[in-house]
Amino acid sequence: MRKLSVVIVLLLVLATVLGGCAANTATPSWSSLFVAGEILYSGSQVGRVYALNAASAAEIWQFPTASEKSGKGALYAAPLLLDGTLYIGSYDNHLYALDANTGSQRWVFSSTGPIIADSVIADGMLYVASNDHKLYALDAATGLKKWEFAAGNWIWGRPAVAAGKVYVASFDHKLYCLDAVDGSKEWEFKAGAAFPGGPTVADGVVYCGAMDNKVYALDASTGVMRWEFETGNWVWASPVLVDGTVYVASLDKTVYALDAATRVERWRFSADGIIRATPAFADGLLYVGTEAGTLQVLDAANGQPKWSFKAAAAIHTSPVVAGGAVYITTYGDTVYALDATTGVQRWSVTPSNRK
Amino acid sequence: MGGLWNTIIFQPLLNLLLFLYALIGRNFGLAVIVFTVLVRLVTLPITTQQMRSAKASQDMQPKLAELQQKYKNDKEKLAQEQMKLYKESGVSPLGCVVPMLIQLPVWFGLYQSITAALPQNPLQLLNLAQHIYSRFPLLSNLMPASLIPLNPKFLWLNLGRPDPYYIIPILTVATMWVQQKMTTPTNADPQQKAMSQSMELTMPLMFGYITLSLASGLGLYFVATNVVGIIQQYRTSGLGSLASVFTKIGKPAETPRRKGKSDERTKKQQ
Repeated sequence: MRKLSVVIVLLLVLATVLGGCAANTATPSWSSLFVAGEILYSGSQVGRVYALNAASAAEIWQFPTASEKSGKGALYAAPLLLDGTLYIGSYDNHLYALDANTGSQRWVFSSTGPIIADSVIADGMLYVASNDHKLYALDAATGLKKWEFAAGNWIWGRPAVAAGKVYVASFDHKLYCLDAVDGSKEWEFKAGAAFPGGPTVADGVVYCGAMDNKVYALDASTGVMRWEFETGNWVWASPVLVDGTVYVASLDKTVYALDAATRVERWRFSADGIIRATPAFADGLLYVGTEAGTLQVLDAANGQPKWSFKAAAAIHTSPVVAGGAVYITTYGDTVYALDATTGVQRWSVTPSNRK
Repeated sequence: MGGLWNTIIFQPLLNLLLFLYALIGRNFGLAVIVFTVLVRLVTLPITTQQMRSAKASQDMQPKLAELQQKYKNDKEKLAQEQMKLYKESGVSPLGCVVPMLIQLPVWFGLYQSITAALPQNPLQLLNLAQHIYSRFPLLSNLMPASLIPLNPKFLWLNLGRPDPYYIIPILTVATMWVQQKMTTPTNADPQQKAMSQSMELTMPLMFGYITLSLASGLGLYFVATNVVGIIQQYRTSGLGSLASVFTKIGKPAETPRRKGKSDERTKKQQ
């Protein structure tokens, strides 16, 4: 009898654990920020978009996406603002265009997969990548589709646009160069593993990190590889190019500063956690967020640490530097505003927890 | 504790699964099945001990019933006599629980590995990145990371999503019920019998319900592990209580209990 009871208890524990996992169908996410003037825009795990006063954190408006209504909310993509319209892609397959001042919906575009990648705007065209393997080019004013390009797998990285070309990297191991006007393919480059993040284009060179631990530098017009550099783990963050130096953040917890032309390493910095987010650069400083919840600020010239700030949870998305402040958001959607020079905290708020 | 669990159980199982995926033509469904069979083979000595113990316990049921009848008014004496009987028969009352306790971490590890191997969003991929080996021991020229994302297609299934046709949940219920039926001892005590019968039905239904909303890759694992368990159980102790089902539905029970190796061993010991 006792034996049977023990067996029953064990099986019930197993069923409860498995069932608990099954019941947890809500998709968690990491939220991203965008700051324009005095307003800070943030996504959230619950699928709600918030507009906050960047100086005081006071709420200006909030917008619930369809994903929030379905209880499966998740906003991974960063908001993007242009000409009074705020664009944000959602895990519920939609790209929302909102009035940046009021939060009211202007139009919505539906893809057939969750939208994880940040969108980008150039010459009136909005480029939206989706988990349905496609890159969509939309009229930024109306949301009407101009063209679409199908890659071989998910696209999670922000596309890059330069000189009439769109560069997009996919989990199919390929980086594509497309004509920005009609979406026709100009060239493709195949890496040894998937591209989880997006490319950076500068001075005729495309830089992109991959899950084969490498960062690649390719000729932007031909796709021919100029150099590759191997780190100790996946490179998910987009490389940052400033004044002839490429800053590469890797999941191996290291930031590498490389000569953009020769790939010669100038310095490296070991952080306290893996680095998923693309670092931000402003006024000679590099702002690096880590999985350990640390915002590490480095002198971009030599990699020396200037100051650091410890948040309560992991930092998965890029810091934003604007108006003398640096803004970060952590897992769980807490937004921090810090003095960009000293790191002194100005405020912190979790918009979704506010009554 | 989490670090130790990851190093000893989760990461080896996860990377073994990826290794099999690479080896078996990048077919995740087949990899899950082979993975399950392999793990069951490794834990074979433990499960065999568990099954033998269960069978020995089953064989003792008539004697236990006799004791219960004999000492129904003296609980203390009954307990003493039961313990004596267990001792004489060389059976531990917890004989089948201890092996199950040992296997439980492996079950959880398998479950965790299959879930982790099919990341559907960036947070899940980030989790996977922290547990994947940089190289396979035997395929050093192949980076496990180059396999990600795995191809989730298998037959009609997308293994990262629930089965739209409910075939996997139905198979989970059916195979688990058969296995439970073969394992459950024939109880003379009506109370225990009622409890066993309730368990035989409740657990499969519970797992079937869970499988409805789980990634079908996990359902496939449940079905595979149940089928291996059924074969193993049949080889050890025959059809068990399942034989009575065949009798009830009017078909001649072929061999109520296959003469397993353990029978021969018991005979030799006698």
